Amino acid sequence: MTETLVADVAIGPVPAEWDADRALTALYSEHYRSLVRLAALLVRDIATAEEVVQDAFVAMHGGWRRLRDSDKALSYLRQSVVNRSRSVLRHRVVVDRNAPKPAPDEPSAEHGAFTLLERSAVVAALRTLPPRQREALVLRYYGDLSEAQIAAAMGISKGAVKSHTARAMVALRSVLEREA
Amino acid sequence: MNTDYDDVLRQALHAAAESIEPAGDGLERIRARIRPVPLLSLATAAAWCSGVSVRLVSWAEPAVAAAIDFFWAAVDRFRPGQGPEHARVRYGWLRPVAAMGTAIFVVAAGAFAVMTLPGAISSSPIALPWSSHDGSSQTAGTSGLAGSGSPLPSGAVSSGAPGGVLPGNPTATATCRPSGGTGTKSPSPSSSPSSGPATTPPSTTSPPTTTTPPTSTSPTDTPTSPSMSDSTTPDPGSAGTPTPSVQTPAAGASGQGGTMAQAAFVVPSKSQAPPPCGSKEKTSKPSASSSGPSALDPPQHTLGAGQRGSA
Repeated sequence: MTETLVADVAIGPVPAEWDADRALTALYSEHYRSLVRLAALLVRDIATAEEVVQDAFVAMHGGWRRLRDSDKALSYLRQSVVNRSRSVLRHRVVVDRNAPKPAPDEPSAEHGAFTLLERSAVVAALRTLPPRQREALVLRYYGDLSEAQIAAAMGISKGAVKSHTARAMVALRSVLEREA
Repeated sequence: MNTDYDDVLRQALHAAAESIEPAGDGLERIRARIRPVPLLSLATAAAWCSGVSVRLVSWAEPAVAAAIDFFWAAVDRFRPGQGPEHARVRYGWLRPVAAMGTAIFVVAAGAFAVMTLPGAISSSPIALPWSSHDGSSQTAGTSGLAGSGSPLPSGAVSSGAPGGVLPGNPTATATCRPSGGTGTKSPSPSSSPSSGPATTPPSTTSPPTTTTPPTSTSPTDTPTSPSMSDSTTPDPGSAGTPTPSVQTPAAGASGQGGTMAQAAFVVPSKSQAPPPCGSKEKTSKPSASSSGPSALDPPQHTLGAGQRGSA
């Protein structure tokens, strides 16, 4: 059984009197790996995923006075990872648009990282989806999150989550059937 | 079909995620980013603080010493002495200053009370007896002259009201407008007697007028009690008062002495707009409406509380 991002399997209730350092350590030991994998599925880069998750933990440490709860902290981390991954992808689009095109036989710097994730045809097809649809599918089928949790993580409504998920599944099916 | 795709997608994502293994130094990197970077090293800060402190102490030492001396001097000034001699020398000036302040306060309070109390009393809605005596006496004198058609002295009219009974009519005070006269109590034969001073109490004005009968053309100036019987409104309470009897002789000349006298006495109070006291028009009006019973009502209506009871 793989680890998930569901809150009820997390570290449990963190005492409110914990300071930020103790909460950071506890949450890191329990959720850092899964969050990095989630970010890697979104940004398709392990190093970038680690930076994204580390930024999220730093932000959580700074806002621990407001959170003071493990569930809130995990939700905050998840949402922060999704938002920062989105920002990374947006920034990457801009960089790719303005970067000089490499030679045809020269592999790009990210090619090695992508190949590790895109061995599966399903993951390769997932790359072709729009970012929101990809986020919805990753959070649902990898994170095993409910619609409400996906909506909270993506910052959208439940109806939008349903819509994104349905459209993503239709698009993914068409891609896989086309390749098959 | 959808379930198949869901399972395929779930297995593919988990398989791809399990192949990802993050670096082990994630927590250290996070703590390194959390730990605030010191701007200055401890040695540099200590050296800087020591240099600054040495300069500051060398510069501020005299200032601090002077401030301390000043503080203790101030403390010694207000510190109580050791014996009675010391206290007398230190605080001997407090007693005359306190006495002077108390005296100034008492004088100021008394002056303020004297200045404000009469104004407050006069502005009160309750009419005081002495506040309306003068005007009525002047009105009575004026109307008496008009009613008789002879230049009666105003003082003669008011002389018949010892104690200011009739002059106490508050309505008369309201109807009489000062014409700027000097308010002399000397009997003048003129038909426009000057209004008496409103501030002069009637008790002071009436005695001279009674003792000095004017050289008027009226038949009788002396008040007589039988003349009261001529009045249409006999006043038992004021039977001895000479005020109605003053007009009685004048009325007797015209056959309606008492009525005319009363009318002449009260007409000025009927008029809404108070004409100036002693004017010709006002003196002619009472004579014209001298015999009407309606002319008798206003005095009763306008009399003061004390006057009304006597009427």
